[in-house]
Parts: sequence; C-alpha cells; structure tokens
Amino acid sequence: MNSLALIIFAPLMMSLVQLFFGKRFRHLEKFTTAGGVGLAALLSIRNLASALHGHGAFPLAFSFSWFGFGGLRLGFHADNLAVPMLAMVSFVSLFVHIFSVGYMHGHPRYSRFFSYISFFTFAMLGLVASDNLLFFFICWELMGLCSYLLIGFYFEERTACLAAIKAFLTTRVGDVLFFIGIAALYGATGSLRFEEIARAATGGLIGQKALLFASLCILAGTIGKSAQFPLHGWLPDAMEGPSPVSALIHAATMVAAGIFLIARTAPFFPSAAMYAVIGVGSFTAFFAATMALVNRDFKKILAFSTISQLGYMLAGIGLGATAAGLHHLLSHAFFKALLFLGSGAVLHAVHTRNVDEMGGLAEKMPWTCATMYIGAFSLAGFPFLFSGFYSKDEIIGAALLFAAVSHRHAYLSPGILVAGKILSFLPFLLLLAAAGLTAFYTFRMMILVFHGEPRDRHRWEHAHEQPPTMIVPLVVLAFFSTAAFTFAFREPIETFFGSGTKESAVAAGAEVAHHFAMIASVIVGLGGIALAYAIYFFRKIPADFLMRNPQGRFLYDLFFRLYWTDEIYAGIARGAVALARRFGLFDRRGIDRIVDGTAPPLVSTSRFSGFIDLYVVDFFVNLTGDVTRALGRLARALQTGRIQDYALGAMIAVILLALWIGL
Amino acid sequence: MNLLSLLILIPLLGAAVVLAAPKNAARLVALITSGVALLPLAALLRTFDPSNPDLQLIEVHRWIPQMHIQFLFAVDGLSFLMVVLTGLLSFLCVIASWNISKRPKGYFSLFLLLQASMVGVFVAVDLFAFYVFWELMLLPMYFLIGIWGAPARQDPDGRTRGGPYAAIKFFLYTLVGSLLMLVAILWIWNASGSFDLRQQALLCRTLGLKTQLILWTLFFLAFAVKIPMFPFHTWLPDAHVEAPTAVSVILAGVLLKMGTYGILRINYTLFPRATLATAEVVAAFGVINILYGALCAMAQNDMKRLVAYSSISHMGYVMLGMSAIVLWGSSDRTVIEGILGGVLQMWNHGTITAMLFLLVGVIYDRAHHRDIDRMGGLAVTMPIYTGFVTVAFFASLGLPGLSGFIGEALVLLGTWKTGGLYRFFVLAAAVGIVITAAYHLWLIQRAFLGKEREEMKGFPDASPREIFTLVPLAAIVIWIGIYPAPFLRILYPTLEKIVNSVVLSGAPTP
Repeated sequence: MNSLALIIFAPLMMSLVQLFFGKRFRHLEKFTTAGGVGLAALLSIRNLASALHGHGAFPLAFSFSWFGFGGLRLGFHADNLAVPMLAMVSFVSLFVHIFSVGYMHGHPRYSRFFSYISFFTFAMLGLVASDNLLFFFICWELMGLCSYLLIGFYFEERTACLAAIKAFLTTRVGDVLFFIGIAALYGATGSLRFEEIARAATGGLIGQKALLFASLCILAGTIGKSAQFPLHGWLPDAMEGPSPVSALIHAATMVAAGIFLIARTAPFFPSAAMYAVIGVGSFTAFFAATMALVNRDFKKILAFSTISQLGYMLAGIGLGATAAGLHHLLSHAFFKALLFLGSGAVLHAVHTRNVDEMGGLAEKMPWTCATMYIGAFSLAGFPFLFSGFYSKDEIIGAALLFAAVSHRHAYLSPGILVAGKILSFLPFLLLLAAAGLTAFYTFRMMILVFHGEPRDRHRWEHAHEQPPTMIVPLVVLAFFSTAAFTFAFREPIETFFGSGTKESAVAAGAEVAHHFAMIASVIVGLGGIALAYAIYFFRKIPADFLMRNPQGRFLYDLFFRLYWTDEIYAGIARGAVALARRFGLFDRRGIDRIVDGTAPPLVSTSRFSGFIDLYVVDFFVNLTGDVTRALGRLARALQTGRIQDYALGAMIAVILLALWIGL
Repeated sequence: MNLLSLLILIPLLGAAVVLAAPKNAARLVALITSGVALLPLAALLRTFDPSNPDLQLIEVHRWIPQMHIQFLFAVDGLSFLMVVLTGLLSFLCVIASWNISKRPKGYFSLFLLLQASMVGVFVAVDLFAFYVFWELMLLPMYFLIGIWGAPARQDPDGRTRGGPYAAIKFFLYTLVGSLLMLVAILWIWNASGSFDLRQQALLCRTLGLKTQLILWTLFFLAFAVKIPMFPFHTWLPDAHVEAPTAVSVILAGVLLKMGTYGILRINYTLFPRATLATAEVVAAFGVINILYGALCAMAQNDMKRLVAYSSISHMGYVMLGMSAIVLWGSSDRTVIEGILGGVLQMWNHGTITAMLFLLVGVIYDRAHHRDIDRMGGLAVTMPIYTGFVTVAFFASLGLPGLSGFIGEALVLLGTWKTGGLYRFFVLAAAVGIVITAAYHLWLIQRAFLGKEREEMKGFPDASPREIFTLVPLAAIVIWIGIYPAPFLRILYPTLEKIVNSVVLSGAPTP
C-alpha cells in the first residue's frame, strides 16, 4: 500500500460509505466524500511537489496478476504524465465537492450525488494512473457510467433521461472501437501495458497497417469521449445534469480523458494517424466555436466552447506539441471549471439557462461576476494576464510551425506537394479563426448575462449572491485561471510533459513562428472581444445583422440548429429501432410460424395415419377377428350337442377312413 | 466421500421426502434439501484442485455391466463451475419460489428432481448416463412450465399461447435434438464398445473427417437447440415468458449452458478434426445470435421477453469465443483467451441473467404485468430494487467493473487475436455491443426513470427475502468484475488442455 493506492482508492471508499450509509449519518454526509477527495488532493499535490524536487521520474507504482494466467501484470503508476494530472483532478474535484455542498442543498438524493461524483473522481484518478490499456478502459467506462448517472440525475425530467442515454450510447460507439484497438494491439504484442506496446511499436514488432488501424481506433475512442466531430452531439445535451457535474465531468476532467489517452498513446502513433488527430482536433475547434456563436443556452455555450477547446488540445498533441496540449488541458480544467461553477451559481439564482431571460446580474452577484470575468478572459486568451492565453498560444504556435516545416512531411508525391503545403496551413488558420470566435462568443455570453437591462424583471429581482461555500471555490479557481497558474506550473509542465517533443523543431524557426502566432492570436482575440462589446454592450452594431440577408440567415440557422447533426443522429436511432421491430416481427411471424407450422402437417399426418389405422390396419385386424368368428360360428354349428349328430359324423369318418385305406 | 453422487442423491432424496411431507412443509423440506446440497459443494470447493487440468474426483458405479454401462462421474475446471452454478441457483430459486401456492408438493418435488438431473448432466462422463440425465431433465421442466406457468390463452393474432403451449414446444424441440444425439451415441458405442467418454475419444479421434463431421453435426444439433442457436431459438422466449420466475432462472441460468457445455465436453473431445473444420461456422452463428438476439430484444415490450432475447444474444459470445482457438492460417498455434472468455461468459450469463429474471419476477409480483410501457418512475418507488436493477442491467450490457465485461472482453481479445475472418466477426459483434447498450438503457429509462406512475405508487420495495436471493449474485457479479483471477485460474488449465488436445489431434495428418 503506498500513497498512490491511497490517492486512487480513498475517493472510492468514501463513495461506497456514502452510498450505503449516507442516509444514516445525515450530518456527516457533507464531509465523507469531500474528506476522501481532500486526502487524495493533499497526497497528490505532495507527490507533485516531491516529484519536482526529484526532477522528473517519480517511481510510485503497484501491479498484480489480474487475469491470473499468463505473465501479464497490470497495475497503476504515477509517471510524468500522471503526476500533474492527479494533482489537477483531485484538486478541481475537491472544490467542486465544496461548491456542491451549497448547490445541491436540500435535494432528496443529496448523499447519492456526492457518492457519484466521488466515485467518478476515483475512476478518473485510476485512469490517469493506470499503466495499461485495460485498466484505462475500465476506468474510462466507469466514468461513462458516472456521467450517465449524473446527467440523468434529475431523472424525473424526460430530457435528462434522454440526454443521459444519448451520452452513453454516443460515447459507447467510440468506446467499442477503442476496445477493438486494444484488441488489435494485444493481438500484435501480447501485452496491454503502454510501456511494452510502445517499445514493441518503436522496435518495429507491429506491422505498420495494424498500428495505423489500432491508432485510428484509439482516436475513435477519444472522439467519443472528448466529444469531437462527428460524435460531439452528446455534450451540449449533457448540460441537463447539475452544474457542478458539468464543471467536473463535462469540462475539467472526463472529457479531457480522451485527450489524455492520445497523450498516453502518442508515442506509438504512426504519422498518418497523427494527421488524423490534427485534422479532427483543428476542425472541431473551429466547428464547435461556430455553434457557440448564436446559442442562447448559458450552459450549452460553455459546452460548445469545451468541445472547441478540447479540439485545441487534440490538435496540439497531434502537432507534436504534447506539452502544449497538456498545458492547455490543465489550464482549461481550472478556468472552465470556474466558468461552469459560476454558471451554476447564476442558475441557482435565476432558475433558467436561457440568456434571454438574464441580464444585469452584475450588480446582484458581484463575486460571481468578477470571478467569471477572470475565467472568461482566460478562455478568450486575453494576453499576458491569464493562463488560457499562454497555453492556447503554444498550440497555435505549434500549428504555424507545422505549416512552416511542412516540407519535412513531404511524403506525398511532388504533384500534390503544393496542395499539401496549402493543407498544412489549414490547422493554423482554423485554430486562429476559432480563437477569434472564442473571444467573441465568450464575451457575448458574459454581456448578455451580467450587463444591460434585466430582460426578466421577476427573475432579476429574486436573484441573490451565493453563500460562501459556493463563492470560495470560485475565488480559488479564479486565482488558478490567471497567469499565476502559468508562472507556477510552466516549469513543471515542461519538466514532466516536455521530454522529446521539441527535438524536431528548429529552435530559431520555432521562436519566430511563436512570436508571429502570438501576435496573430492577440489581434484576433482582442478583435473578438471588441466586436462582442460593440454589438452587445455598446450596441453600435445591431445584433441581428446576420439575419438581414438570406446567406446570413442560412449561416445563423446552420449554427443554431447545430448543422442538423442531431436530426441525423435521431434518424439513425429511429432507423435502428425500426429495424429491431422488423426483426422482432420476423421472429414471431417468420421463424415461429415455421416452427408452429410444423405442427399442422404433423397433426394431419397423424390424422391420416389414424385413418389408416382405423380403416386399413384395423380393417385387417377386424377381418382376422371376423374370419375367426365366422369360422367359430361354423364350428359352433357343428357342435350341436346331440349324440346322433356326433355318431353320424363318426360314421362318415370311419367310412372315409376305410375308403382311403382300402384304396 | 463420493461428493459427486451426494450432489445428485441429496436432491433426489429430497424430492421423495417432499412428496411424503405435508403440504405446508413442502417448501421447507425443499429449502433444507437444497441447503444441505450446498454442503458437498462446499467440500468440493476444498477438495477440487484447480491446477489439475484433468478430470478429478472420479467415481465409478456399476449399473448395467453386461453392456458396459456405468455411472461414471468426474469434474474438471469446466464442469466444476457449472456444478457450483447449479447448486447455487437451485438454492436461491427455492427461496424465490417461496410463495408458490398451487400444488406446492408437486412443484418442489419436481424442482429437486430437476436439480438432481442438472448436476447429473454436468458430472457424467459416461455418455449413457449423460443421455439419461439429459432426458430426465426434460420431464420436470415440462411439468413446471406446463402446470405452474401462465394459463393457456389465445394471442390477439389468434394463436395459442401459455404454459402448456410453451412446455410442449420446449419438450418437442429438445427431444428432436436429443434423439439425434442418441443416434450418434449408439453409433459410437457400436464402434467402440464403450460409453466411457475417455475411451470413446481414443476411437473417435482416429475417424475420418467425413464420419467425424456427421457425428459432430448430430451432437451439435442437439446442443444448438439448447443454447439456443439461431434459428432453433424460438422455444426460448415462449418458455421464459410463460414459466414461473424460478423456472426461468434455472432455464436461463443453467439449462442454456448445457448446450455450450455439451459442445465443449463431447464435440471438442470426441471430434477434434470436425471441430476445427467447423469452427468458423459456429463462430458465424455466434455472431448471428449476438446481433439477432440484440435486435429482437430491442423490439420487445414485455420485460421478460426482452431478457429472454438478451440471453440469445449473450450466448452468442460463448459460441464466438469458444470457436476462436487456432490462429488463422496456422495449424498448431493456439489461442486461449477466446474460449476462456466464452466459458467465463457461461458462468457470468448464468449469474447475471438469474438476477435479471429474479428482478422481473419481483416487479411482476407487484404489478401483475411486465409491460414496459405501463411502467415508469420505479427508481422513486422502489430505490433498493432499482439499485439491484442497475447492477444487473449494467453487468448485462457489459460495463467494465462488472462480470459481463470480463467475459466479453476476453472473447473479443481472443477472437481478434485469432485473425483472418474472425476480425470481421469482432467488428460485427461490436455493433451488437452498441445495440445491447441501447436496449438496456432504453428499458431502464422507460421503466425506472421518469415520473412516478400513479398506479405503481405504494409498491413495497424489495423484501428481505428477495434481497437475500439477489445479494449473492450481485456479489459474484461485482467480484468477477473487479478481480477475475480466481475464476480464470479454475478454468485456465482445463481449457488449455482441451484446446491443446483439439489442436494436436485435430490437425490434418500430413
């Protein structure tokens, strides 16, 4: 038993205690799970600190023979990737716990809620620390379960149930492919451990085709879990869950697990798979941002922004800048958790998610407003003062560098080299554009919620600032959303994640690309913010300028209706159910008819044989009887019982005998 | 100590005592009997040596020596788990049938007779005894479904349904299959002069491929009905829907396993060449079962029918896994994960489906219908019950951390590793996994989530007796999900031996 085991299993223990005994100790239920997660946070931060002093590798692991056959040992370890993640997950989770104490107050399933999020925390910590694909997958699915249970936490509402099912099934599509990827790697290497698979892959023990296939399958898992295109549709709907859940699971941690998976497996991804990673990431970053532009649901805007930011991380890792991707993952975890908890505070006050019914809340909820502003600046990438700026900038820089050095990727034939050159700029352009959109929609949202005239007087008047248990987590997370985070963690992130990611970059070129990218993203970001203020705050530009012409109207519809992807999914689901009904009918009407159909011929055959039996076989049987009886009757006629007849008979017999002898 | 005979004799004796006991004491006698029958099982757990791949605890009892017929009992890792499953489920089912009021003496007596014959099937290594137990099992099952099942009625589309119909369907279907098996058994006896499986194996393995294939098919058809394999499966939904809860549990939990058990015990042992030659066909039928069962399950409105179809789907994994034993394109490189997962899936399906049927029985006792569309909000009405439902359904849909996943995962790992055509089977099965998740979640949503239904308000939560039947199963489901090693250690040596012997004696001789 070492501290790693305690970090992973303390939240689990407390979750189970809460689940089974939570209701018995009503006054304790606030503390049990927060205690478990708090212990995990304390230990993992201590680990982080001592790992920093030990400079890098930190041997903390345990494993056992889980299958009981073969030599395969599976277990958990706290390696360079895991140590900072463990600290982040447990830390954010702790503050979400504290926030929830106030937020969920008075709900009939209060203790169940804490049990679920604590169990979730366990699964995420286990995932981060697992040293093999199987445990990773198990934790991955357990998080899916928690996500399902928590999205459907208000299961009395039909929308919540449907959202929960949608989330589970959509991610399940990715998960199944992910598992096939695991099976492919296991089939090729006989191992499930990341280390051994990477060694086999780099040693050329796995065929290139198999490796590419497995990598793409793993990417499919990420696409499902991290809500990337085309499996992104579940995350906006997942906002039906309580806001702390959105903060913890659907922003800071679980959805980031997909990114973490790519970071874990990137060492053996072939370059073709990496291009797919870049493509999915940068496209989704842009695609999701467009949908956030026009949405009216407070939490859905944040959900789209999460999808978009996850796209950044994915692109970052695909571009070879694993450190940048994970840096963004960590900084995003803090500022997005902050934004979601802030949105929860607002929801708690106004009881609606529709931004059209808000407005002017800044004076009612100053703390919430101020802390959310910090988060918003960080998300929008406001230069220098906020953590999001640094981490996002690194990714955009890496994208520019990728375009600049793309002649290195000139594996294509010379004919399409030019096209390749243009294509290689695409990630940079998409990510840069997305940065501008992000800045715009973030501040559109902030202004609509906090400024201007209250659009719903009644709600506004009942709004109030939240109690300290909910404000303190906001303040703490806000602190870590500023540049303070960057200055405190840049060094460790370089130390832990940076190994081997910079080697391909030409140092001088990298520097130039970075400066250029930084300037570009600052301009785009500030431009987006300025536009948002011009439209919604100062009203210099009418908000419905898009609607004025048909093309604009079409774009608006496209964004607002989420590119009709939901309709497509609904069609697939309906088709599946219709197909199932067909099969069900076929089973009863088709196969069963055949089975039942064997009965009537059997019965008629038996009737026929009964007929034969009665009229043919029995005829002969009866005939025998009849003949016998007739003979008997004849014989009986002879048996007259009169002595004269018998004497006559005897006479005749004697005469006949005599004749026979005599002749 | 003849533990294996005790396992058969105790229920047999109990069945007789039940008949002699007064009417009110029948259930108590049955409970004591199946409880006492757990004692030899506990002793078996201690004496059984999991590291030994061979048949153990061999018992020989003379029966008809003139014809070399004997009771030959033994267990290995494969049958050991099945015997334990039988004992456990029988005990729980007696408790689950506690409230049977219709002719309890007959019911419990037949139930114990059923238990004895099921154990007999799993421990017999003499084909004559195997066949006798196999047929003996039909008799109590027929009456249990026919008399204690739902009363006969007409369907809206004018067809007869109900216990008697289902019982006859089940009986005839199985009987047709087992007659084919009888022909094969007599053929082998004629050729080898023995009913002892081990001696028959010596002869049968020398047979030509054609002969092997014919005999293999005769056995296989008998077992395919029992699994039940598409298209021989339609007796199953009917039998399940009409049977009383405990009988459904036994039917799904134990009887279906006899199909795959028989294939592994007899087809794999006697006809290795035919087994290798037909492996892809069996795997393909397994995949059809997975997909077809899942799709049919999704279409059901009757909760019990849904669970019945899910059984068909889940047994497909067993067939798929146990076919993936040799690397594609090689004749001697074995794959063990698939068959290991398949057999573990037999055990898992036994425990999970038993839970599911018990749970359906709980709600049927209260609502007197199983119509999913007429339920809703049960999570509020019956929270403890819903907790068990969650464990059982998520185990059934293969959630990691619960036992269903381990079996399916090993099957998929092994099948993919086998390569070639099998990779397409994995891809098709993957579609089945998604559908499986869909119909389970859809059921949970329709019946358990949402607002509380007016007519279901005030339903009492699961009673202590019901909880008592569910807890052991839930514990096993979670245990295997978290740490499967103890179970896999029991199976591994036996299955490794089976696979090796199939491959060694089944490879075409140069």
